[in-house]
Amino acid sequence: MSAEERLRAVWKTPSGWRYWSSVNNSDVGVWYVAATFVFFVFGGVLALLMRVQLAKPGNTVLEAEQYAQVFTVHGSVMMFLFALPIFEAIAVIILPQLLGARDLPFPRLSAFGFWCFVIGGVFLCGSLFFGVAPRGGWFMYPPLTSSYQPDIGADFWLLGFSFIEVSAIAAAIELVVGVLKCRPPGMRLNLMPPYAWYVLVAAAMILFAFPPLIAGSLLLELERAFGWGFFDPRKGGDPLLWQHLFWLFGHPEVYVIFLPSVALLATMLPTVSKRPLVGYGGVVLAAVGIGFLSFGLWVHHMYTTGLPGVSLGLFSAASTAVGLPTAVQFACFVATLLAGKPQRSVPLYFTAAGIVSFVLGGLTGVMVAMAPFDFQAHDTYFIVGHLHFVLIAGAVFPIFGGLYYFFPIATGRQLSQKLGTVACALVFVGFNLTFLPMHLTGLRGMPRRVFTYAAGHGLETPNLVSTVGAFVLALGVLVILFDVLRPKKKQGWSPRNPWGAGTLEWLQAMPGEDWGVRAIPVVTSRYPLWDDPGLVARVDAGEGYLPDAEEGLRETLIVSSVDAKPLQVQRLPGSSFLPMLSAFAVGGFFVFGTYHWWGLALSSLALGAVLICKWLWSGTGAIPEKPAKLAAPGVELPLYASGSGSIGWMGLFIMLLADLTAFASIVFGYFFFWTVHDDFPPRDAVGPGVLWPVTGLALVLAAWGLTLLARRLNRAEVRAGAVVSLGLSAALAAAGAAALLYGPWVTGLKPSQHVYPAVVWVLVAWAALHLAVGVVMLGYCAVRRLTGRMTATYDGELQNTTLYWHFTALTALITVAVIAGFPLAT
Amino acid sequence: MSTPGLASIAAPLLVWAGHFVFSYAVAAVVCAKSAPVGGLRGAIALATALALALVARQGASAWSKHVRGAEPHDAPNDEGRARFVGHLVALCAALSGVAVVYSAAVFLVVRSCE
Repeated sequence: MSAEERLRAVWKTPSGWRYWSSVNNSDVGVWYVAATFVFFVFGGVLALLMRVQLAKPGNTVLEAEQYAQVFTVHGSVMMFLFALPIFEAIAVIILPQLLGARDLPFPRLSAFGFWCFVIGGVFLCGSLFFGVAPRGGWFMYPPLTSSYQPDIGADFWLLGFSFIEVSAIAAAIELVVGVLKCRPPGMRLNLMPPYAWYVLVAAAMILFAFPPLIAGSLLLELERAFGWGFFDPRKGGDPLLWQHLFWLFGHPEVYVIFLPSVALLATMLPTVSKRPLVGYGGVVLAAVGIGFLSFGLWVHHMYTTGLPGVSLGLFSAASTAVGLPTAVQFACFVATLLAGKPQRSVPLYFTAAGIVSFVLGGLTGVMVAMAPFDFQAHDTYFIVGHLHFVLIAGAVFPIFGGLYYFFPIATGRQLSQKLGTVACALVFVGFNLTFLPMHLTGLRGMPRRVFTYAAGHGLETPNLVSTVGAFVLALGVLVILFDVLRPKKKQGWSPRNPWGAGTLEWLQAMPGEDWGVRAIPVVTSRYPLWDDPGLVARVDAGEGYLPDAEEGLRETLIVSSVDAKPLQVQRLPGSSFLPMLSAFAVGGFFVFGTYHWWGLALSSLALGAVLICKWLWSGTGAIPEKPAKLAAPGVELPLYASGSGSIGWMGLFIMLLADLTAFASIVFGYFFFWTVHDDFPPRDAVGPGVLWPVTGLALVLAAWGLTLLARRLNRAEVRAGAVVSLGLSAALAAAGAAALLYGPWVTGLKPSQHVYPAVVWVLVAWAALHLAVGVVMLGYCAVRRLTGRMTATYDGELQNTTLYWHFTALTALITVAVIAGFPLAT
Repeated sequence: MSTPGLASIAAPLLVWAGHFVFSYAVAAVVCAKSAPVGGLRGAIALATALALALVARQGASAWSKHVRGAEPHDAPNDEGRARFVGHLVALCAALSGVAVVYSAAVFLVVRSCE
């Protein structure tokens, strides 16, 4: 067998029903994109239903209740099942190609995330067909979604989307590590394609933006299922806490949607303009700057809640400040078009339509950033117009452009230039007809989310125009769908690099091979295909890193994150049903939980945990047959890394940051109640005391110390000592968790009585749950050591477990400081 | 993860974030607990001076790395990368400085919790 044949055999996609066990990014990415488009069409049909209902005053196509379900599911589907996952979906396909990598660093995690997404999405959308869908709007404000809607609808939303958020965080870990560690040698930070910068920023934002919503959903579900009154003023709760947690997620989330789409613009613009991007530094500044500033905007959704004037001013200032980097990046884009020789193509049309329309939406954004203007426009159709302008122009247009641009990469075929042009015209005209009049409808006083309106207020014409526009827009989408789905066998394969682009994803032959790239090239410029005309031939000849698969294993290259120096050859796991099965089992917890079948839910979760352990056991941490291998002529690289140099450690570190953010959101809740209440903790309240929390903390810290000791003993080849230390650590951790839980138990704190005991219980339970996971991890390490699957040198599992314990010790410390320490201080 | 290159890019914006969170938290607590607003402006002024000094230092240090050397930003070597990162950090520092001034200006204009 030649090197090429070996490589092809190793990366071969399974056939028949086993096709669905594939974890290769080129398969998972395509499923992911296809699924998001199915949800997009579903959300679009709901939009059309709403527009039909609103076409004339007093229409009766939908009843009020149905309408509420339809707008809630429309908003939720478009946000959570289209706009966000399409970023992950596109990145899963494009990013490895763009970086000349064989795959992303955790292929099975990508597959797991995809299956979670599909299950959660089908579950939520399905609820609509049984008339039990959520109907509290996509941001689910209590008390509407708690005491006024006690039925199952809101549970679908809270549990369905918590599950999908898990998949978003999985994707974010994958993408951050992918951008930092899976670049081709030589692709230093200054040579990274803008797309990779944007993906890095957006994925990092997910890690800090999503956890507050996960925490908020947990609290709201606890209130709905068990009467813990976090948002119920009768129990000392406050509905505003939900708004804070929701928008702490919700505003950055808008930018998580927007940035990856802008990244598509920054990728397509140099190609369609036939010149390098103008102002690369400015574009990177914009990506990073927006990533940070967008976390200071959340209260601009809450201007009318009666917060102090200085607070409103602060968020108004940040909301205008974020316009600065946005303007810089769009100036760079326009300059690229002006300085280049734009070629007529569908990607160019969608790019231009996106830039023009987004700027308009951005300007109305600056208007609503001004609190006094927002007081007037809040909750009117002006906001509906504004948000669709930024989201459709800022995200959907670039995605449609990207679909035409990248289609050959995924399928080897090109879409039709004619159909694309027609579709772009229809979408652009339909979009403006639909959403431009909404600004007027809103200024004339039409509130959003009403199922009908009265005649005689000047609302009839703009509403009718919007309805007609929506159908024109839908026709445009239909043309795109037809173009995608029509048979293309006769038209032949796309030429290689059909647009004449300069970046690595176009190295791919048409049709593409499952291996991604024949050999990983060394990169010395931002547009390697333009600057090095011989590159394609050299890569085809197998010049570069990892051109072979001698050992019959999937491999990719790991490099240093700043200067992309080759560090390691990473073995990647192959096809497996385990990610899919784990997703179904974990999904069962959320599905059964929705119906409050807690026995089934917990069994399903336990099954999920077992499957995930099996997945880890069989697919990770394998000890290589030799310490190093030749990755390229004269370059020998290790086959294994543990500790902070390994991608597993890095992925776990990133996940723990997200986890800590969720915990911080609950702590924020505690101090939020302290701020808004005159006495919190209430003067007459019995807290969890000091004795048991402090005892629990002492046990946890001892367990942490023993974990560190186990790591040291293992490194020193003291096997028995390491295993005993791990066992002792697990026992102390279990005792610590029990002591933490015993504190509020023995003092008789009843979480359903008041928000104070409720928040104490949540904090304690959070810590205890993390300790329980820590115990499993310690046991896993002990078994791996005893069975010889972990050694003194190959100790990745123990290094990762130690990292987990750093975070868990910190969580316990903060928990005890808050529940036992803070009441003493007040 | 915590390589100097990536950490230095985030640093100026983290200063903005720190200033922002501090301003928000202090204002929220002072207004909620009906504490005198006079002290609030003093605290914000101090925090602003500190934040601006920090970003100015980060920006100046980064700019000096950027002007050192003659390699273009896209040169495939250490100097090109260092100059690019210097330039980027200086830009981030400038953006952070402007954003900090925006936040602080609110306390000059809005003088009460109403």
